[in-house]
Amino acid sequence: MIPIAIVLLVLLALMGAPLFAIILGAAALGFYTLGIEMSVLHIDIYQLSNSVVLMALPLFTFAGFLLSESKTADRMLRLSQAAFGWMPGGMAFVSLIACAFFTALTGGSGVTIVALGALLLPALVKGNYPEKFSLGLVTSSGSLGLLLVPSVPLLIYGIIAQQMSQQLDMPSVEIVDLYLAGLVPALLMVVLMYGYCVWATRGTEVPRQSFDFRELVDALWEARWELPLPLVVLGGIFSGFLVISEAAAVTALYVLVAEVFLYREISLRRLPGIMRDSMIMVGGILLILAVALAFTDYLVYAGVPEKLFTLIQTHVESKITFLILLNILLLLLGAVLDIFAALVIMVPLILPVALRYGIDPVHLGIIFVANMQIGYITPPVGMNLFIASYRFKKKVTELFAATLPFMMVLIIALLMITYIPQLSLWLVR
Amino acid sequence: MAALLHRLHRTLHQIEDGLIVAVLLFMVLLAVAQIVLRNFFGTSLVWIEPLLQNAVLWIGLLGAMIASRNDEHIRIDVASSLLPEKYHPFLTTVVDLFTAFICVLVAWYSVGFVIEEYEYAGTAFSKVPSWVLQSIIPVGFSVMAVRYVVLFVLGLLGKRPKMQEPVP
Amino acid sequence: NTLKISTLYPDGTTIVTGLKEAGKEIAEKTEGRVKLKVYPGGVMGDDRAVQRKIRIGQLHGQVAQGGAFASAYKDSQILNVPLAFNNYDEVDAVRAELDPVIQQGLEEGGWVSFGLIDGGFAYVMSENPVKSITDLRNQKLWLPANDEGSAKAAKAFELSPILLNIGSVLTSLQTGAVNAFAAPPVAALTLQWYSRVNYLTDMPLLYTFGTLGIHEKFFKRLSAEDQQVVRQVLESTFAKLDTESRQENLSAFQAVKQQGLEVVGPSPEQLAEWRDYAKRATAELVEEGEISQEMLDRLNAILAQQREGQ
Ligand code: NA
Ligand code: NA
Repeated sequence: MIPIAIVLLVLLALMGAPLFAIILGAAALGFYTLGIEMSVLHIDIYQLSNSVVLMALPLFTFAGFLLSESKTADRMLRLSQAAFGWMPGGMAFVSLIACAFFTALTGGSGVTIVALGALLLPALVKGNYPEKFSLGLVTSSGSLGLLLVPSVPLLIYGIIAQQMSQQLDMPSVEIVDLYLAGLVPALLMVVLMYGYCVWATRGTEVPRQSFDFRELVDALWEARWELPLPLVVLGGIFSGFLVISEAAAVTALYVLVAEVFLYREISLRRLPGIMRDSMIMVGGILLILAVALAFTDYLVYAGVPEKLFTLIQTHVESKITFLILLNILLLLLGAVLDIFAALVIMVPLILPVALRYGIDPVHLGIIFVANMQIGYITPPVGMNLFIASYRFKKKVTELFAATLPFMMVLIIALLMITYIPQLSLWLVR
Repeated sequence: MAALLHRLHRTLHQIEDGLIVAVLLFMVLLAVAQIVLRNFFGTSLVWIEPLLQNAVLWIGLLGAMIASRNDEHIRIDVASSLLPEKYHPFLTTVVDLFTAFICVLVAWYSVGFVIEEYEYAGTAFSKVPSWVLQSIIPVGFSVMAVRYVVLFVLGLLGKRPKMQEPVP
Repeated sequence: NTLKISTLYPDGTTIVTGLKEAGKEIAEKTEGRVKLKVYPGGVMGDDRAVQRKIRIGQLHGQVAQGGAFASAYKDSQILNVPLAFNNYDEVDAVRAELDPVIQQGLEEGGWVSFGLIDGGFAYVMSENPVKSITDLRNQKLWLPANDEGSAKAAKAFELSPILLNIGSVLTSLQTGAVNAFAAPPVAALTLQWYSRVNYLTDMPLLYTFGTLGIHEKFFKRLSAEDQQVVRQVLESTFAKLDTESRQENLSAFQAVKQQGLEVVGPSPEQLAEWRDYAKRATAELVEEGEISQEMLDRLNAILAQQREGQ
């Protein structure tokens, strides 16, 4: 009876049932087998109101929506071009930097390709970069900022880890630490990608832009209201002056004032609509997080993590072997699962096991998100492939072929991040 | 009758939209107020923190309710990209029924618990009864249940909007 | 029959280890009819979530601070009256007489309990020396967010505290967002808070205690004979844990001092002012029905007797 129900749930998930319903179904099934009253689902969902950092999610997302609804992308592109256009492979580097920052600022919600891609792709092609190369670059850069503050997936990992942290004998997982830990790996990815870009275009004649100080000053001036934003967020968080949720509130208010009153690119009349649209997406994520609380409650209550560990331990002895298996598993999951789904389903299962192999929870968070970042460009469920296909009117298969070399570069970065923990941890511990 | 239903439908949409915008605005303003109080006046207000934390729950459920209007929830959705279009109505029919069932299940037990919480007379903070804050859960899941039943019926009539992931 | 107990105390602490051992003993003595399953470290949620789960029978009991059970028996808060005690001798004298009363009161309120565990005195620790109430008012004092009780106390002492979640206290101490807190030394030590302050005010602000409550609904399911076994094992366990916790609290106080915190004390006049405010705060508690006048009188009678004997 129970195995049939599990198979049915998997089948329904593959048929396209909303993930929240699947997770709730699984939790309900689990509690039912233990004879627990179903009101437990309500109690667990209400636990959503018990997190001190969760408030950052709607606020950062709202700020990201505002940024993508105004001309921030144009300003960012102009600025990075003025600053880095003179370098060899300058336009490629500009793409990488602009995408990384925009993804970080908009919280990795996937809008980068929509907002920046349409500007970057023509600019790259005009700059004599091969079209296939350009498509691959833009599509794969669309998730480059996922390890940079204030990345939403990293925030969600932190929230889940904090919820679990008390039960486990582990160092605390501060969101600030996760953001600090993400800096070097994100930089590594940018550097490796840039290196590949220069190497891949070594034969082609790519004209270099000469450095123009006036243009840089003009671009800086144009971006004057948005430039202080990273300082506000980073300064506020890393100085400890603001806790994460407060930094998010300040960011939201700051962006609101900048785009509505200073740049005047969003009218007050459009504001409620933008607020509502951003909150629909947040609602979807929060609902998944809420039902994941119920599912996690079932797992812990039934002692599943302990059983899982015993099972894995009998087959896997060394930390290295475990990490290899972890990477393979996460890459496969990233290929079929949405990033939020992967986080809420897998972190509660993997975190306790990884801890026993002596993996730092902060490092695990970076490994997790770095894997998921690659998942954005792997079929069948590659968010960026879909969005790019919709945006550039190309077939998903064509886009995948174009992104493949970039994916290889990212996998090399991933391996380095996984097996050299210091890359993530030297700023933290 | 149809006109009345239509008006009711529109009013519900307006209430949801209005509430979610209001909650988000309050969240920004209250959080900033708390920062200002702490850093410039060296104090803080007791009720802001719990109110903000509950606002997250409300935004979550209101957003989820709105997302259910056109079935814009996060999903894995492998079948619809593998199967030809003519099988899609079958998929959505089964899936809508299942989702409606799950929402009814949660709504039912949630209503029961909230009634009990009301009788139990627990306060969440500053004399605010906790059942009021929790009531968004049964309300949210009831509305979602109704919406998925409607989607199911529309599917049978061949008028259902296409299954989609939220496009960011 | 498995009794599922939740607690915020992390795995490996004296209390959790003690409970697990008691569980083994109970299983042995009841030939496996009764078992204890402990969920440590707050995995099952905070006190409120746990009590909701107890209501639906997912859990059966919890080890928590006394305040968590106050709604079942308000007078259990009598030990938490501000500045009631001068030293542990007074605590012991009061507890010798009132522990059984509290235990019985909790049981009548639906919670079968097996004795109280010492939580130690909470002391003010701060960046700048705090001797008078005015000194404390001039600090950025941290209080836990979402805690009605301490908010009330702060109001009675006319303090304007900064409310933060417990997780952000350490960073806030580092950055100076807060620079004072009141906590038992054990907490200040394990959470590293002591490392960010310079002074400890040698005035036992508040006595804290914890206890295990198993809801009677579930306890009564056991046979009378098994109930007897559970009571006997847990009562002796809790007596032992009480002594051990007291020892930990005492050595934590010494450890905090050895870490370089300077101990300061209020002058007699300043102490009188503290007591004055404490008296008013206590009167308010009585007025609001949080504590009965009868129970307060009883406390004061025991204390008077104890102080006379000195
Ligand atoms: Na923790
Ligand atoms: Na993918």
